[in-house]
Amino acid sequence: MTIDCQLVIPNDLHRRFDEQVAFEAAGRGIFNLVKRHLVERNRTRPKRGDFPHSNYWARRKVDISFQGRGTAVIQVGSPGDGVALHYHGGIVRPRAGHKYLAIPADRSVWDVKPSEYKGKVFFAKRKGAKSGTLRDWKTKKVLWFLVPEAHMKADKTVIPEMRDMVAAGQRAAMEAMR
Amino acid sequence: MTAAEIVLRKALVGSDLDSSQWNMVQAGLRNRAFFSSQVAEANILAALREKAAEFAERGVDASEFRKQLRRDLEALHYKPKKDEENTIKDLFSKARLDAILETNEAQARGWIEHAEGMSAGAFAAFPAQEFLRVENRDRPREDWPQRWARAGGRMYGGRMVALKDDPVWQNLGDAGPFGNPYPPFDWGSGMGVLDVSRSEAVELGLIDDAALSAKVDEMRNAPIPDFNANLEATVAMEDGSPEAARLKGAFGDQVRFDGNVAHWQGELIRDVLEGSVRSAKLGRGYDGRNLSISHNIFAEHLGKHFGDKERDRRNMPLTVGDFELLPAMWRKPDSVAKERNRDHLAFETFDGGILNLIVDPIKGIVGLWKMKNPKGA
Repeated sequence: MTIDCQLVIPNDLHRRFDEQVAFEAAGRGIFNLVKRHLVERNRTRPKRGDFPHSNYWARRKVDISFQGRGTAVIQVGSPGDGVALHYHGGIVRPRAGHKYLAIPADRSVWDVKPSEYKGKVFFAKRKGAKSGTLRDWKTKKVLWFLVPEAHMKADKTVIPEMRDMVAAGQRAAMEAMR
Repeated sequence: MTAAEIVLRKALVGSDLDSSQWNMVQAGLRNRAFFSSQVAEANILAALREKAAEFAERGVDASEFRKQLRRDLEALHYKPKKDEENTIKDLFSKARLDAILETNEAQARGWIEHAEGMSAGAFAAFPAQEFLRVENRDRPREDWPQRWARAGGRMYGGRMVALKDDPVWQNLGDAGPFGNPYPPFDWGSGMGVLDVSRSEAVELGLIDDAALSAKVDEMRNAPIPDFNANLEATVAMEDGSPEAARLKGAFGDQVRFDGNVAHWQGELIRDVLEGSVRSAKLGRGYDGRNLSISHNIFAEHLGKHFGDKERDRRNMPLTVGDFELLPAMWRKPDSVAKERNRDHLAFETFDGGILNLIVDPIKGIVGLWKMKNPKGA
C-alpha cells in the first residue's frame, strides 16, 4: 500500500542545513514510526488457536522515498500482500480457475496450500452448503475449510494516522538539525 | 539496492560442508556466498538463489515458492537420501525451504535497514538502536541478555541499547552463524532492532551533542555503506597461509586470492561481466586444463543470446546467473562430446535449459548458448 505524505520542513532549518540530511532524517522518522506501529500491532494480535504466530505485521516491508520537495511516499508491504486489503476492507475471492479459498484448519498445514500437500485429500460438503472442507484421505482429519469468499472489514489502524507520520518526519528533521 | 539484488549479489558456492563447518568460514566470505548446508551442486544453488531473491522482494506466499522450488529441484534430478527424507537435510522439506527463503529475506532486509539507518540524516536523528523482540515465537530463546553482555553491550533500565556504530552489533553477529552487524543474529530469530532518537540517546548518556555532530559531519562526506564494505578487513589472508589452504581444501577453485584478499569466483565472474576486471579463470576443468573467460567473450555472447536479440526459438536468453554457472559446468559438465578437435560441454539448468559451451584447445571459449531442454524441465 502506498501513501503520499506532505512534509513541511521549517525554512530556518533549510537555511542552516542541507536538504538531503533533513529528508534522510524525516524519512527515517516516518519509517521508525510505521515500523514500531507494525511491531506493536504484531505483538498484540492474538494468534489463531494452536497455530504458530504468522508475524504478518512485523514482516511487512516499510519503504520511504521522497518525490520532489516534501512529498514522502510511504510504502507499507509489497504489492499483493494484503496490507491495502486490511486497510480499505473488501472481499477476497479465489483466483481465476479456483472455486474456493482454503483456510488452514490444522496446525500441520499452516502456511501450506492444498496444492502443496503431499497426502491424498477428499472434498466434503453438506448438500446446499456454500462452504466445505478438505480432509485427509486416511485420517479423515479436517485440514482446510473451503469458503467461496471472505469479507474483510476496513481497518484504518493498520498504519499510523497521517498527522502522526507528518509529525514524526518533522520531529526527526528537527532532531537531526539540533 | 533492493532485497532481491542483495540476494542475487551473493556468489554461488557449492560444498559438502554442513552448517557448523560453514560457521568456521570467515564471516566476510560467508556473507557474500549463497550456500546451503551440504549442497555442492551449483545449478541447485542457482535455483534456490533465484527463488530466494524473488521471495525477498515479495515476502508473501511461501507455499507457492516452495512448490516452484520443488519443481526446479525435480528438474535437476535432486533426490534426498533415504534416511534424510522429510528432515531438515531434505531440500524438498518445508522446514528446509522455509529456512532458505526466510533467512535470505531477513538478511537482505536487515542490510537495507542497516544501510539506510547509517545515512548522515538518519544517524543524526537516530544515532542509537534498541535490541528487542520484534517477532513472536512459540519457544523464544531466553539467553539474549547474556549474549548481549558477552558481546560487550550495556543495559539501560533493562533495555539493550547501543549506538549504531558500537562494536557490540558486530560482536553479536560474530557470535552467531551469520556474522552481520544487523539482524537476524541467529537462525529463526525473532529479535530485531528499533531506532532510538537523538534526545533519548543523549539522555541515556550514550553520546553528547558535540560528539554526535562531529560524527554526522564525517558521515556526510562518506558514501553510503557498500554491501562489500568490510570485505578487505574480514577476509585478508596470505595466499599459501594455513587459513588459505583450509579454504582451498574446502572450496577448491571456487575461492581465489587477489593480493591478500580472498574472493569467491562468482564475484570475479560478475566483475568480468560488469567490465571492472578483464578476465577470470574458471579453474581446473574436467580435462585438467585451466580456462579463462574475458569481458569480450561475455559481451559477444550476451550480444548474441540476450533478450530480444534471440532469434532461434529453441534458444533461451543467457542470464547473469548462467555465466556464474560456468565454473561449475567447466568442473563437472553433464555431458562432453567431441566436435572435430573441439569439446562441446552441456550442463542442465533449473529453468529447463541446457547451457552449451564449445571449447577450442587453442582459442579457448568459442561458443556459448542456452537451449530449451528437449526432455522438458
